[in-house]
Amino acid sequence: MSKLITEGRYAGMIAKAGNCSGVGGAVAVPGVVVTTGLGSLLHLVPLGRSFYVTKIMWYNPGVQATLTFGTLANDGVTPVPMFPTQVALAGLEDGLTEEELLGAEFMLNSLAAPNGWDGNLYVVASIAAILVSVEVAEKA
Amino acid sequence: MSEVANIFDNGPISLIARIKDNISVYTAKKWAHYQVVYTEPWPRSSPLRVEMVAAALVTFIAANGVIAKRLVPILQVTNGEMLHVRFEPLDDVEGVVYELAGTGKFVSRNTHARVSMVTCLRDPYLATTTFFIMGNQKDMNLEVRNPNPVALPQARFQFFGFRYVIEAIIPKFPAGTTDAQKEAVRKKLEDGDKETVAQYIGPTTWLPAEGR
Repeated sequence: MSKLITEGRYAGMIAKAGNCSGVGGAVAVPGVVVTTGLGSLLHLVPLGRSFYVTKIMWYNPGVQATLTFGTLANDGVTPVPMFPTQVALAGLEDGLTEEELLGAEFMLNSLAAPNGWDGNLYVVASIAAILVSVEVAEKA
Repeated sequence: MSEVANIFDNGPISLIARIKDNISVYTAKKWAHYQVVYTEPWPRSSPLRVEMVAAALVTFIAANGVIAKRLVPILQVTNGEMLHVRFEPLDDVEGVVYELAGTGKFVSRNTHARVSMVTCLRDPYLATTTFFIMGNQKDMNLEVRNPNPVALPQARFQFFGFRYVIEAIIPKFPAGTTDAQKEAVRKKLEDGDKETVAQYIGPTTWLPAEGR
């Protein structure tokens, strides 16, 4: 499931699929995440590592919705958006590739909220049941 | 690239001694002196790959979990044989080396280094993963650690290197040497005394087998 990236801006990092799956990303097994109406977990940062998001894909089987990708403040409640909000059109799939995603490094910041965040990757979706999968490059 | 490398040479792995060269090995808590009688490469290939999850008879390595250190049977040798090995994990796990089973390899007073998937980044020939296995019952044990917050179904490790067949060197004493003198020389050879080794063994390559 994991491989070393050998070239490009993420050379030397470990590429892997997001390590959460299921409804809300509650299952700690790599796979497709099904959004809830709230924040859903997409990737848990391993202890002592950080990561960049290299690809996001989604399919929206419902009505038009919005997706906001980011992390979570250390109050455990407040989302911290890292990328501009995306519109997920009804009945269509779409995605963001490496060139379209900012080089934002996701890592634990242990300061108290609002300055600190847990470094995991979340998506806040305006509706439930959107399917989301991600690929990340982990730095170790 | 020289024909014979330093033992932890930072280039591609190559022989540390040629056939008929002497080696002095730190093994079983003393220095032992051998002549190399045969060498052959051990190319990186599927038989030299071990899947530690399957080897441990489990189905996964838990999130942030450990597979307790265990023998790696493909790296067992008989007496008179020595392996010169480098390795890397093929999955996103970390390997912790023990030689013998209770003695850490790659340790300092306060820490025990690991070999990870990214070790090869700054060390593309994996020189810093070099270790030696010397003779029967001095096996290497490998502990596996999963740095991920999710469980992993496999933890493969790839080994490669060289195999040496070696013969102990018996020091030759001049006629008239007393038993006490012979014993003193043998003790100095075991201690690795440089002058005594130069006199009784000759030019040699010094290398460690197990941890210390």
